[in-house]
Amino acid sequence: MQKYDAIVVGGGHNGLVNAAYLGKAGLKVALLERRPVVGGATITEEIHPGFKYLTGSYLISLLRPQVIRELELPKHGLEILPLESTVAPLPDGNYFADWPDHDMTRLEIERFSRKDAENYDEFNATMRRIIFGVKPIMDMIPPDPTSLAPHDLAQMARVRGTLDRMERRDFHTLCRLMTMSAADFLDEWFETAPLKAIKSTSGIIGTFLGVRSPGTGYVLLHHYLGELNGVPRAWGFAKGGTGGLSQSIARSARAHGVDIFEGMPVEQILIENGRAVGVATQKGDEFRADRVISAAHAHPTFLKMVDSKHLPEDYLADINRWRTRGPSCKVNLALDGLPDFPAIPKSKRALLRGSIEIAPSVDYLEQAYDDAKYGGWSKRPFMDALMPSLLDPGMAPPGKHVMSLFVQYADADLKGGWTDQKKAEFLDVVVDTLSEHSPDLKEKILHKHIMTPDDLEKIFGLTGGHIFHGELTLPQLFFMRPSPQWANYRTPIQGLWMCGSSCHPGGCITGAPGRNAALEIIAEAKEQVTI
Amino acid sequence: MKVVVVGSDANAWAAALKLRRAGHEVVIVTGSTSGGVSSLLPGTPLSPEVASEFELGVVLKIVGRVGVSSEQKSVQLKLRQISGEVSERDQERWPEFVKVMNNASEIWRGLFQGSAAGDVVGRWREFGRRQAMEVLRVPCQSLSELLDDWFEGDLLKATLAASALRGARQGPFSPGSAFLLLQRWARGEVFGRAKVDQEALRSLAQDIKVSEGEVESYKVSLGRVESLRTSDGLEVAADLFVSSDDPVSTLQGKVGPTRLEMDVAELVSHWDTRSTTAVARLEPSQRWGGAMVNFCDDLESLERAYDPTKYGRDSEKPFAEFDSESGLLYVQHLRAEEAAEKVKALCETHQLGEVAELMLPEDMAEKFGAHGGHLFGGERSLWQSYTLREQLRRPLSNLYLCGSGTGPGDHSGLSGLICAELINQPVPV
Repeated sequence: MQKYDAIVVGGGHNGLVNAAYLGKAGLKVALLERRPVVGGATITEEIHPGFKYLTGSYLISLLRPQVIRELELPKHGLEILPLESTVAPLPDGNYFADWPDHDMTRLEIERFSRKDAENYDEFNATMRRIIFGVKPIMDMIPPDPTSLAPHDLAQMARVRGTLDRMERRDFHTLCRLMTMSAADFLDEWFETAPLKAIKSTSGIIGTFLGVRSPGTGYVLLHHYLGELNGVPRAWGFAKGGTGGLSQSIARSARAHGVDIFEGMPVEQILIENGRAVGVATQKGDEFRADRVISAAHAHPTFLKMVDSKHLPEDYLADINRWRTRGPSCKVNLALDGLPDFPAIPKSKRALLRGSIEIAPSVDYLEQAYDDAKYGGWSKRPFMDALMPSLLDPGMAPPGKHVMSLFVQYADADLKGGWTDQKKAEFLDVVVDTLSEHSPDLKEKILHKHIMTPDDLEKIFGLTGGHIFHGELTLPQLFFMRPSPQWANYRTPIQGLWMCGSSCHPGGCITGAPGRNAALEIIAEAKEQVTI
Repeated sequence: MKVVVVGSDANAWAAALKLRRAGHEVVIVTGSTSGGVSSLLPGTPLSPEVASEFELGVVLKIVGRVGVSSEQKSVQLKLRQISGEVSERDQERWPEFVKVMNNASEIWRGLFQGSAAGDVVGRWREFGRRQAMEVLRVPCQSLSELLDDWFEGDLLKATLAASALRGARQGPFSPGSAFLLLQRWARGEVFGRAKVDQEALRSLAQDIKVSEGEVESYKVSLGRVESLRTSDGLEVAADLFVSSDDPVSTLQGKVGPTRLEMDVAELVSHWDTRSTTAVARLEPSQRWGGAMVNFCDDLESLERAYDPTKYGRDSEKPFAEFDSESGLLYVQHLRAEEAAEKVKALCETHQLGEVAELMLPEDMAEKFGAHGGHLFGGERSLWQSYTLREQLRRPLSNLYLCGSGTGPGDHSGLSGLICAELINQPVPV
């Protein structure tokens, strides 16, 4: 069998990005994907005939612009349609809308509070300065802060330099934002309850914490780090669903000579004399290479594919205590027509083309968390709904629609476990809650489908169903992700690398771990050649 | 210079003594000589820095800590070992846990000892990579993350968590709540209590003039305090004012937000002093040999006790810490709803006798002037700590704060000492 320069295990978006970069640098790369089609949780699946479901991720914003540019994704078919708005229908029959456009949102806030509208200027300016200050850190290779090695010290100096460029006041705000709760932070700025509710949801996406839990401020910041076509914190929808994005990266990778094997689950990473030398597949094939890069979650990588005897005790302990209990479900509905949301006036129907958030108040969101955190689920969950067929008509048959719902919270460690009956029960909870805001929804449902944290684990390999490969909390960020000393995409095993969301800068469709890891691998490969 | 020090807790005494040593004319203005809200924390040991500055000798007494469940099972915690309702595995892991906490405490204390930041980082590196990173993790974690990583015993974990949560409005699942444990650990409060209290400081200050009277307002002109007025109508002028009262009541109430720079006014308006800790006065008990006692069951029940506070309600089933030497019981989280009944039930379960006095946060706000009834002049959370807690040290050019709302956030006297040192620093030319 052919020997490769590199084997990438897992064809999620980060694995694909990594393989494409390595291929572009002239390495001979094989990418092995367990499922019949690449994409990982960045995928579009036709589960009900004619209806394209987004079973994993659904929106794009944090994807690094360098990745789009350097891999020439538009040339390979990527088309991102901007998401125009986010709207929250409110129980009192009113609604609250949020646009990427500052002035439009400001006008909207003015309907509720003049004072908040004025504060919103200052809030946005502050957030923009902070984002501008910390964004470069996303593309940095995390150093080991305990090390006195020149490259670590230089990297630490770079991090410090980035932060030093911030105004002292902004730096203090950043420190507070990193440690406090999203709701408390927003309380300092605004009085309008729906505004605080809709903004605070950015702090809990994918995270098993409530809007009032300290630390959710950071998750909020994380979701502000995105941009789309140069517009900061704008969100978009890939034509054909997020599967359209992963397919474009796959095409770019293939164009750079990457061999992509689908339906090829890796059983084991082969280690000889302390060095990763290839992989063995479940089908019994062996692929040999100079290096192996795992895009998979840290748990399957180190607790299943690598024999633990090769790992230092400390490292194994860090992987074992990795927090990856997910709170998120994904629901897709096939609809026989557009559902009505009475809270959204007829003249504002365009708002249905954006996100519809079921987040009427901060207390509602917090209660949703409290219901779930002891091994249960929210009696009335938080939901982020989207009707992709309004943005891309190809997502559903003519006249029909498809709705994607991101739902929290349901505990991955549900008491009694996730059975088919529990799944169906929670799906009913989701539909019932949404029906409170859209009375005709139920009669329009042709088919419904749920991915619980348990399904996300079984189908996508996300341990605990955690969409970010592990909580984005301080002890799991930057040089701690996934383990101190090994945050630079290397692992204690020579020739074995990591490039998934278990590494800095973490989850969401960013492509950053894949790209950062590739740049490190390429730099090291070049060094080895010159020596 | 003539300096007026407002307050009569350890921080105020430490500041006054240190300032007098530097040759200033010091006057103390205080409403009650009992130490304000710190009189409810008689177990708080003085900081070693204060002890050595004023040659007070050993200030900490090791008494140990006991955890008692509602089924009357118990664990005994000492620095060297744990016993009682604990597994062998937990006993084996205890020394290693103590080492990590001690090292983390050393770094945390180092940050307040006036050492250069570089020296603290250097010391931190000396721990070695593994230990250094463990130390760094501690304050960022939630109590449940920290304790679940180390131990399996519910009562052991709950006892450590409950001790951390005394006086705080957080649950053990809140990220950063382990920092609360670190703060008490670093002060020696987890296993010890005060051997010498603020009385020792006061006795050194017998010749400092004390004016009795509650401060009602500060007269501010052009960013400077000219004088203060007490509720008895007494007006005291000075060159410099130092107050150990909490930042919010001082700045919002007595100075007035319009007299502050906008940045400072904003900081004060965000300062979190919402307390949910009630304090009950009981008879001291010899049952636990003078130890600190936590009445609690497991981490989940501590979190459940915290949940209602987020919606403005009280705990259904509160947990508590009992200072068995002074007889003070700290109950989380109670503000109003049937507080007396809930405390009584707790006392009956653990046979603590009659409640002589029950103070809810609003009573403490009323009695001691502590904003929100907070025991520490503001939540001791990560976002109100270290440099973020020092921002209100000098809100006006000649007004300094020296209480628990600044510095390490306690009544150990260290904040007062830091304040006096700051004032005594030669003015850079």
